[in-house]
Amino acid sequence: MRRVVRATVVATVLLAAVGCAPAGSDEAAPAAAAPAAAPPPVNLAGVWTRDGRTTTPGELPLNKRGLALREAIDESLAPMYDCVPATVPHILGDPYNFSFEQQPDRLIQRFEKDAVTRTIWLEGHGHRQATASDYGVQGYSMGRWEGNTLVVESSKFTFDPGGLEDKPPMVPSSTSKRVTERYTRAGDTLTVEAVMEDKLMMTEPVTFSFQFKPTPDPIADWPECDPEQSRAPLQYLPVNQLKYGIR
Amino acid sequence: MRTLILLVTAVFTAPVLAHHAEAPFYDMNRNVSIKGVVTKWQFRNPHPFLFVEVADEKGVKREWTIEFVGAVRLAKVGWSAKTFTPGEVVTVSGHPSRAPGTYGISSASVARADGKIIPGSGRGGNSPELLRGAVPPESRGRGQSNP
Repeated sequence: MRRVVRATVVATVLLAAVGCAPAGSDEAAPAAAAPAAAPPPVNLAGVWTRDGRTTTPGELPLNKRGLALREAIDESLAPMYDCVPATVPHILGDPYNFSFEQQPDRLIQRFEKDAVTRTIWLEGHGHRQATASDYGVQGYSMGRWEGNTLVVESSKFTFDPGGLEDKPPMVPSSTSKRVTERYTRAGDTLTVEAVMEDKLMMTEPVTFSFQFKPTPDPIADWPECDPEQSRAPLQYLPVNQLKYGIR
Repeated sequence: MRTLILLVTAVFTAPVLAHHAEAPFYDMNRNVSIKGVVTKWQFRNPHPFLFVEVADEKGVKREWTIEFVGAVRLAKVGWSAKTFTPGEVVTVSGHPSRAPGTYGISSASVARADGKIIPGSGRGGNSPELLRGAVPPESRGRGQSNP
């Protein structure tokens, strides 16, 4: 509990410091009429495993706020050490599988990594747009088909000390983080292009791309994450590498 | 132009890492090897730990902690809570922990008492992914991966 409080305090202080309070202008949009369910243009159902090349942005185009926060965030503050799950787009690059379950009005995406499950609400089925009450670690995801490509737009991410870069030097994401994923299947190759933006932290969006292929393996069970075990490696961080006397 | 293309490719193919990175905690420029007796095996997420008691030449015993890649990745190649038994002798090689006075190792390989290296017990050529014939994480990222 003490760590949770500490993390919350740190996040609050950093948010206050940069004045990036959550946008409050989002209002719940009236639900659209739900048309008859049509079959999806492409079958994405099943388990997918990493295949081929991954490309990620080299240096993030951080603005002054992003640069300042990158300097302020230390490895020991990473939420992952309290077993907080990874988020898109980075979770797509981890060496774990994910699955899609396709329902008429939504897709359920399950990641082996951190046992993350998220719902992608398909447009045109009466689902509401994201509201200010939808902030969460994984954000809120809406999807649509553009031809044979599934386009997923996620927003409403909570402040995350490793939300733009979760490896050292970590870069936090603000509540303005948005990720647009485009899933395109060609035969047995699933290409995912993910554009990440955060107008409070970066001067322009950055793009990731990943490739996957089908696998007959089921999604592996993810035993409960042990926070004590997760934090254990932090004892190996040399004190002189820590910033601002955090330790 | 060719040079420019190569530079651009290099910039945009930086690797992706998973869970925590290895380099902040372990000295990637050094390697150590220990031989000792297993005292505890914690096959838990996010990273399993093996505790090994090692006696120096004066007989002084010290416990080392060995960290592995993610438990799910290891489970896919047959690892479990029964992979190690307290009392068995193992030889461990890997990168030592950075902080002075600590005795941690990021595992590159673990061998049984008979000298046989346990498949999947490290990274690179000994990673669970290579064992499975899957794409190794090291090929996807900046290296130093310890997911």
